[in-house]
Amino acid sequence: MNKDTFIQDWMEGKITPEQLEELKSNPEYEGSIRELNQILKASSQLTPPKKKDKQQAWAELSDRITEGQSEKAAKVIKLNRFIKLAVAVTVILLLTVYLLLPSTTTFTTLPGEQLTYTLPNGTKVTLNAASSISFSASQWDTERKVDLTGEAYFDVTNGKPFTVATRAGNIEVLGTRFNAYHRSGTLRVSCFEGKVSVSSKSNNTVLRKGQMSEIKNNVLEDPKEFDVEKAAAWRTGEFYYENTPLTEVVYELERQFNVEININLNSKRHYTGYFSNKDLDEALKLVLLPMSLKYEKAGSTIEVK
Amino acid sequence: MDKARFKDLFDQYYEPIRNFLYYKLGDIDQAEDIAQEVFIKAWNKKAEINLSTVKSLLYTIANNLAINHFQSAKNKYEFHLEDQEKPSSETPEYQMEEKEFAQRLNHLFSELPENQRVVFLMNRIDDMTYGQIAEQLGVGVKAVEKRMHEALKFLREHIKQKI
Repeated sequence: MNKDTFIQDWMEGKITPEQLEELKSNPEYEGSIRELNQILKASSQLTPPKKKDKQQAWAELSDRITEGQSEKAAKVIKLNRFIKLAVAVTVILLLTVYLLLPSTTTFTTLPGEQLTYTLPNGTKVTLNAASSISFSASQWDTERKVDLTGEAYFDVTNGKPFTVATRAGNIEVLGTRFNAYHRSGTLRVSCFEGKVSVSSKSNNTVLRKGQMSEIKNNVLEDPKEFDVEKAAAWRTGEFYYENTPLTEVVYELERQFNVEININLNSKRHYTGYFSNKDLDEALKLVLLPMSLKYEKAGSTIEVK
Repeated sequence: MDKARFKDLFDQYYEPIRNFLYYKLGDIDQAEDIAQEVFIKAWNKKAEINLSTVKSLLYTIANNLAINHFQSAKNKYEFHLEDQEKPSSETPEYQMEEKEFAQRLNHLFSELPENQRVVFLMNRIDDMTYGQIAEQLGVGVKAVEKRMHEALKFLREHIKQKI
């Protein structure tokens, strides 16, 4: 793929997540993607300067316009019913074409990166490393839906229903704060405020503040309590685990530090503990030593014995 | 159309129209003055206003009025960052970097060709889709995509060196 057409393809959503992952592992593109993301993100947070606000502008305008010229011309329009019809048909056609055009916006984080974005309705989304969300900006008014892979924390502005869709299941909310983790086919949702509805293909449950639930292999488990202090601490770089499969913890280490960990995993082992994404050596010690695992580090590859 | 309904129109479109003029001219005083003129012209044409086409009409008027103005000598962009809550993990250094980054973008915007700059900013700041932008500017979606792509390419190539 040529570097020039790549930007265009990427912006038009023609690059699949798989291709993007592949590109990111190529040092030549990795920097470009990071810079492009940075430019797109920063420019969408810019606000134009303003000398007078809308009310002032209206007050000024209101003084300069007078009522009372419209009746005569209103009749002219009535005569042209055919034109009206033609315009209506054109508008419907344009609208149809426009709604059918795909225009998907995607936000992506690289390994070792966390970013916060604001969606069109004011909802704030913090993406954990190696995660992405995408949504259709053109259909946002009718359907507030984002597709998620990876992990994200949502602070949803009150208003119309908001849906987070994953392959494992969907989450529906009104205004609320919640964390969604969707990796390796598992969807885990933790509710921090308000109510969150979680549905698998065949089942549905409502989470209240302080409750979490998981969909694994299409089975939706019953809500249970979780530690509000710890579940979304990843946003400040802290990761807490309680009886979590070691595989999941190792994958998180890889994503946070952008390293490769070669480990012969016995997936039945579970880990309880903590690591911070500030210091790789310390994190490795905190995770691997309690499991009686020794390791050797060579560059960004870690061999676990 | 009476004044109350005209105010609804104004409330809905004043800001995007003013922004559009600012993107073109890079002078907020001029942009606000011309935005006033746009709505006065629209009011005078209110008999012909059709709610489904009014948005395009406003952009067309704005575009024509802007062309008649001399390109402002100023053409200096002064976008500032939205005040938004920062997650506590972002350090003051990071926020500084963000500010500096925004300054660089401001500087680069005045070097971008006008048609690329307008498309890029309508998409990023006013959250308009390529389809909407194409409709308002009276060009094809392909042209919008191309300008967007050129703009992004230019910004990426220059963001590193310029300050």
